[in-house]
Amino acid sequence: MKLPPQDYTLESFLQFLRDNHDSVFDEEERKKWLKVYGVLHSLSDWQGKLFSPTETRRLGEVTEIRIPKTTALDGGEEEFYYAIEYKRGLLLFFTSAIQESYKATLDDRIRRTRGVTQAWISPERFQQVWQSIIDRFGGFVYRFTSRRAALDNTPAKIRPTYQRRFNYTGDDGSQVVKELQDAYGVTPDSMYIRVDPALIVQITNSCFFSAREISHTAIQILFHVLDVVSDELLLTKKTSERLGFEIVNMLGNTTLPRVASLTAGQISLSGRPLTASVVEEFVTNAEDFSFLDQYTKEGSLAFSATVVDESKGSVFDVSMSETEITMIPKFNTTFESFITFLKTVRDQLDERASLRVWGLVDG
Amino acid sequence: MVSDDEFETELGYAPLIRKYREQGREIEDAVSRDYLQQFDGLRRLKLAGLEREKAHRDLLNLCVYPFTETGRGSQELGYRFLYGSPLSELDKPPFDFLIARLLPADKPAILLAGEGKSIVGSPIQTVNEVKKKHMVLEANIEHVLETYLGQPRNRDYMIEPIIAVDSVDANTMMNAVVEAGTDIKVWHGPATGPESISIAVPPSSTTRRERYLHADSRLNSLMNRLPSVRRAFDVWPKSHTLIQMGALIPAAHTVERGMVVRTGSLDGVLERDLFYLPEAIRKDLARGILGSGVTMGFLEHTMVADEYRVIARGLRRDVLEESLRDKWIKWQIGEDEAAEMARRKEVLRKEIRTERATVRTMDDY
Repeated sequence: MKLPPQDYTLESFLQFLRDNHDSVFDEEERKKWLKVYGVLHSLSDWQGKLFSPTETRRLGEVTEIRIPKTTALDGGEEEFYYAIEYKRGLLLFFTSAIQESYKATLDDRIRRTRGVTQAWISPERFQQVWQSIIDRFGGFVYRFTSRRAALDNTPAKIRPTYQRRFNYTGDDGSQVVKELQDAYGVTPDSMYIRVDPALIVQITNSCFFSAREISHTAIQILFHVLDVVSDELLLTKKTSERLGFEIVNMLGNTTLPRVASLTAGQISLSGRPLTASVVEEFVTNAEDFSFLDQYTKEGSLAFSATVVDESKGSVFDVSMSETEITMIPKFNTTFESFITFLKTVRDQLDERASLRVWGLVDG
Repeated sequence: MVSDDEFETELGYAPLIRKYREQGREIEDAVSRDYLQQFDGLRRLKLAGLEREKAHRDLLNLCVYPFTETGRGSQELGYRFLYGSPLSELDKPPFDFLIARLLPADKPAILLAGEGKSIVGSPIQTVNEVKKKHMVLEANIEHVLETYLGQPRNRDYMIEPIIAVDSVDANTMMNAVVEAGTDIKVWHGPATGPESISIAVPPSSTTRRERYLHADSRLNSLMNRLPSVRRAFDVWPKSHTLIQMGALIPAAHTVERGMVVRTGSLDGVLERDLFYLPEAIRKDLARGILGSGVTMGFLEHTMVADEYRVIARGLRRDVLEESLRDKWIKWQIGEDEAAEMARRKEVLRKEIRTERATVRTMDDY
């Protein structure tokens, strides 16, 4: 996907894609799809932190980004992305790059850069998104994947303690997704919706949107998705950014002793109370994090540990009781570590887990 | 203790030297065999000591967390957590924590000096211990006011000693305090389940009931299942060695060939938890941690000043921690083994010295 250099607004950029689909997109079928990635950041200069100056070019409101592919087989090819700050802190990256190439280019940068993360849509909001697309624009789900973690406490009628994954294709997908949810307690994370005979869109819970035809309706659906999810994404980001630790002089007076100022985060769980064995498995499965200096007391659960985000380097303590997980920042923390931890809790333990600032009624 | 060579020179008598060597070897073999056989049990004992320490730490955190800067104790009433193990640097028996209300400046400063007991062995003994610590704190109050609290040495003050216990022990401890007739307050927090801290309130029939409560009635009201957390400060001045050494793990950085710890990053990690300690004391602690890391074979010096390479496979912090724990346990058990050998050889030497006193050789004439 490559656009001629000129000044674009988001609207004129999308209009150009709509009007010039064949010339903008590659011949290869998988590269004919427009893909949009939602990314959260807290950086004052996201272009400078994520990319080198030679990789970016301003095209009005849009930034053109070309990232060299990293593998030798790519023969020095570049992958193109077009980025726009949709709302302060929420970036959209447009591309036709296939999944493997995205992982080796933009995703790799995001994973290695502090202060930026892929956005994650909560299961509750994701349900609302796909349902509202069908309600508003028509069509049906024809393909989806749903998952359930072994420890998940989402209600399930059949063997609730099993980890499972469904990959379903069929024109009755809209019904089946709910039936599987009810029977097996699985939560959808990726959906293909056939809106009309010519338009297929894909949405995933990692704030990914994709469409084969870039029609007026496709663009309307993209904005609809963003409308539904962006407030929640930015609120979670804002809450995570508030968490921190600093040492300050009492009342700002240097003659008075130093004191610790802590803003902790609290994840509230809604379902089955946590137990020591559940937490043990959670710790094993949470691969992004190392759990150090662990202490578990059985009975009514008490578990605590120092957690290190192995990718971003954040260090924070966690203290868990049966229904709550407190994250206490230690040092070098960055907001996305708390978001990733929340996502891990939602994936592994409780899809309805919610985050707020500790000690506040609403975060 | 003198070395084997020195002892043999001291003996100066071949048959006894031979005997010492033979029996010494037997002792060494026996002790090594015993420690090898008992290794798993000894390892469990070492880890059990660590677990007790963690329970104690949970309790201390429950006590102090609401008195950090954004906590309710600080925001609503002006009491702040200001020091851990005050007076320990003077080798005096310290309380575990010091919370103080310093304002308004024209009224006496209120010092809440707390001792945590996650396991209560003898309640009366605990009361006596805290009474003693209270006296020591009073005796050193000028140092406390000036050094820890940044106050004039002659400022008026009031100390309220506290014993903090697991909620299941609250009644037992309260009874012991009432029986002893002291002004100690009892705080308690649950070791499991929802995290909070409370003040134990004596029965209404108790004589002079108010002496077991804080003078500040607002503090008593606040300390009723006041929400808190069990984990906020991991390293305390008197923490278990392995907990202190644990600061090496988050301080470790990935470099091209493995992981390294730089003194600057270790200082940063320690400062987070021990923000109240003077920099010199914190740096001493960091040096001690790095030195122990080298001694036990977890760290080695690199060509770069103030940089140590971590001797462990893997780059994940949980793998490093496992390696640190294993090396520390081996080191500790090795130290115990060496001490036991030395103790038994000293007994042998005593016996041989006695025997030597009865033997006369040419040199003795």
